[in-house]
Amino acid sequence: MNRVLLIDDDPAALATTAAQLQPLEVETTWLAGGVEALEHLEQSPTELVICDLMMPEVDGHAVARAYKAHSRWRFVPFLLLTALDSDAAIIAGLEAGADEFVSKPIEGAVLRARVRSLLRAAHLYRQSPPVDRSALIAQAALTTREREVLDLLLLGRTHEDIATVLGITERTSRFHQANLFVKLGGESRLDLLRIFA
Amino acid sequence: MSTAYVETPPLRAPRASARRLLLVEDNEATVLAVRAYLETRGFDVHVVGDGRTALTAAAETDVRLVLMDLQLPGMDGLDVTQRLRAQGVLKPIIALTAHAMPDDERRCLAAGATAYLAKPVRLRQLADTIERLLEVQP
Repeated sequence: MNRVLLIDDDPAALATTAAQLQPLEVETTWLAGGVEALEHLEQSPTELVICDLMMPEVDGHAVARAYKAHSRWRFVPFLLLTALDSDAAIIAGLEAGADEFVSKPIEGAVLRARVRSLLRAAHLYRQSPPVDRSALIAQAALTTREREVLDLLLLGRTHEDIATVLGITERTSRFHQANLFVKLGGESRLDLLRIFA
Repeated sequence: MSTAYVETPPLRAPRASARRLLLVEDNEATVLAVRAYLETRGFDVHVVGDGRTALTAAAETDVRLVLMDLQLPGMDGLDVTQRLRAQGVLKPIIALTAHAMPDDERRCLAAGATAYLAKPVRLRQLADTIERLLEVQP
């Protein structure tokens, strides 16, 4: 059974969303806001996250950024649900890392179709053939330092963090990143994630 | 589903007035949660993942307070805390520990920690503790 994490500071909205999802026979876990969502990061990932945008203290954007920076939650489809429907709100939501953006009120049937679509895409992704990471690294002839930088980049660490952890400067960290791009054939950190995901 | 790989830098540009903290922690979920939450409370959170690096990072003058996980690779958090105190670093250190043993609090305080919080970290409680300690020791 698919597990869905519901995050909303409005209990009535949580109940509404859960009721709308009921025909899908998913198991829902409810969290009362963005702070609780951040605290939940250490739990095992579910199959889907549905998160409200406008919440006090920690809003849906901040939750999406944190979840999409996590090495395992990153792969869980993240749907932002919000009363806002301006182009700017949609763009900001997707830029924060959300995979889907839905404006309330929404018909239950439409929400369920969107949820099924996200679950389907995640399922397809899981079936894609695994990458032989060590073979790739051997083929690219990475140095030990480059491998260390690569590992930290894949964890979503900033150059500032990498510099601190490895005892090098940020400039050197960026230099290693540039070499990684050349050796592995990518142009951005996004490409590295695609190569090794 | 390429959107699953969206690059999301965890650090937002800190406000000029942000108070700098050092988080010494190697657990990814804790780092992300603590950083995201404390940023909304007006802090600029720097993170290091091991005790040895923490020794130099914690001594930097613009770091106002240190959050110290006790289970670190290599040198553990209690050891780091003791060494910092021995170096004359007086800023507040909040110890964070995963397996709360009855004796933990006493051991933390004996090592020189200013306060002690058991994991899982409750973010609001953590931020309130930080605010309180910074008021006492600006």
